[in-house]
Amino acid sequence: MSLEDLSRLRQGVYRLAGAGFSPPDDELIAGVGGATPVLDALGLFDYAFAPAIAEAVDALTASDTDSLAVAYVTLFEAGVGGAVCSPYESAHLGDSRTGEVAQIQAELKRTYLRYGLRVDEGSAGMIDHVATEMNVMATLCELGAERESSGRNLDRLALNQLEFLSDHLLRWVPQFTAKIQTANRHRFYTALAEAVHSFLEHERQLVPLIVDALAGANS
Amino acid sequence: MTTILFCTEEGALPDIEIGDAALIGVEDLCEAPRQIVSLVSDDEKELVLAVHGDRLQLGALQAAARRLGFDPLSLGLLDLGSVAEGDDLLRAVAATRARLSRFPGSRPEQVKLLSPDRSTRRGLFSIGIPTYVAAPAIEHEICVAGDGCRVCVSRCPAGALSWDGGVITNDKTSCVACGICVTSCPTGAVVNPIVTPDAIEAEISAAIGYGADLIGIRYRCREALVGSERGWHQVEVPCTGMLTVGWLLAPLVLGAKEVDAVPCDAGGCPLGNDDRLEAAIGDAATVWHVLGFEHDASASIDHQAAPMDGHRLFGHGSTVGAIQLLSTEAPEAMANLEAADVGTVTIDSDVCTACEMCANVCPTDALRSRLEDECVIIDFDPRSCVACGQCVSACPEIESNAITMTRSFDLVDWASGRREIRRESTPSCEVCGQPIAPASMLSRIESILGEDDKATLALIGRRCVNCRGR
Repeated sequence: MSLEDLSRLRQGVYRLAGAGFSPPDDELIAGVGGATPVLDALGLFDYAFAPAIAEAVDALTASDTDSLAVAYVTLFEAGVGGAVCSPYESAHLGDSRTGEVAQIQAELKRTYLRYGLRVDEGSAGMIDHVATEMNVMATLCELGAERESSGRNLDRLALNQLEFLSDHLLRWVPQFTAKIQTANRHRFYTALAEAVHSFLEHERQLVPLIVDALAGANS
Repeated sequence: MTTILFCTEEGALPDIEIGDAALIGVEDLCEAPRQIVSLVSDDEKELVLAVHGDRLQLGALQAAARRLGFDPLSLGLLDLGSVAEGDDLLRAVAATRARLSRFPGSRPEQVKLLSPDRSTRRGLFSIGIPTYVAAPAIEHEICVAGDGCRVCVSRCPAGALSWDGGVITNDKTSCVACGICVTSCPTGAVVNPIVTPDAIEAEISAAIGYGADLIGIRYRCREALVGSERGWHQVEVPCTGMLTVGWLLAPLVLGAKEVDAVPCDAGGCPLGNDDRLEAAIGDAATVWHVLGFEHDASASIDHQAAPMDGHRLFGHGSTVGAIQLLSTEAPEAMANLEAADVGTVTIDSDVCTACEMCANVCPTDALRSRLEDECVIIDFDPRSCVACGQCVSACPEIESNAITMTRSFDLVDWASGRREIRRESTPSCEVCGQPIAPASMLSRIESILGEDDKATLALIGRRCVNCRGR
């Protein structure tokens, strides 16, 4: 497998996770429901996280939009004193009384700009939402795949991926997915949480290997 | 249903029959394992593959297993290079299936990605099919790191385990999955899904139960290249350094005539675990000898007996369990050992301040403390001690040797059970009547403060911490 294919596969899984954690609609079911063959063609089943991804896609195709919408609200939006499983990084790592929430969001905005990504005015409230962060990683993977295919240096992109993974996703998403699994409100969200947990656990090992490999290739 | 796939030349199967399993000969199974996707039906529950370990394309096999709906770590791999033919092969199949039947499933934390092969030419960068191995993960519900236990951290030869704020984490990048943390954890909280005590016990029991002139059980490092030897059943472990005295004795308890262990060859263990195995074998031999056995005396062992409560033949407390089951002919045996996980703790009352740190940190409750009759009492149960040394490490008076632990056992001592090893009076507060602190601790504080502050000293000795400000 080439690094380009691997980047495309990872991009696909991040996009799938980003879509899965967005408010559900018919488009989501249609789009994500057909993801497995596409990811399979990119070598999905060569990787340990494949069964969990396939299970999440199966669970989604077996779901209807209404039950997903109810589960989405009860898991990620409504709740006494806040959502049962808040999908915002700042809710997990920051204390709103000390201004840490704003600090985390501001730092994320700076990070996105540093990666060359612009934040839409209308998306300001979603800056630290799990779907946004998954899509940021998807974009970094996509850029990596494009650079690899054109033979350009992607060391910086790989380092950005490692940084974003370490400084953000791995710091809070594991506890977020654990909460979803404990809440166990809907088969799809429970399966998606397991899939994302499995995938990020794999990323924790894979991305440093990619960075090391690129450093070795340059030496 | 179980399917057993044999890597064969031109699809020829060995001349064996297994009633409840389908045997399929597969040409080039090791080099082209993806073909199993078309050979195994979707409703299979168990998959055993008899392969040549040195030729097997493991990553491709794991990918195929995933596609078939199997957890790749649940595959039963039988190395044809280490198994003889006929009864030995049938025994190996039965034992492998028994081990598989105890596979607990794996979690993402228990899957380690091996560094892929790659080209280093710029622009042609590519990686092979990834290969995974099982890695240990911590069962935090059982782990007592919150009480200060760090046995696994101190034993890990790769420095992969760390303790932070009462939580153990495993850095899989550094972890070599040798299994030492699995057998050294005092509470069984470190779990590698392919080498659980249950699975190892099931495999060895099945191999012994198969009969057919079994000579012995041979633990084999996964890296060791060991040819087959008639009558010996090989049990693959990640590293023979993980073997405890209990694991070495357990096959004898279960009915094997002999047991041995083969570490990886080629100039010694790269993890430096040769010394561990050597010490464990030496201790096992010592135990065997002091319990009255000669080279082979398994006939005098009650193979049906179960270990005493709280002990298992494998897993934590296994050495105590094995010694207990082997001791029927020598009820007064005792021995000093080099590295075994059995211990005896003694406290020097002249130095100990009865602070109870040792009891608080003890992961197996071998040491316990309580307040009774205006005294702090520390008692000790040698049958629960796994010689982890946490009590010694945690003792504030470690430089004075207030507490010492020796790797030893004394069956008379075991028979008497839990006993008091320290008692210290605790003066009561003149205001509220609650205990202030052990008298020896007050003396220690006095020795630190000296004679310069007599008022403070007098107050500390008369009032508890809550009443000193009144």
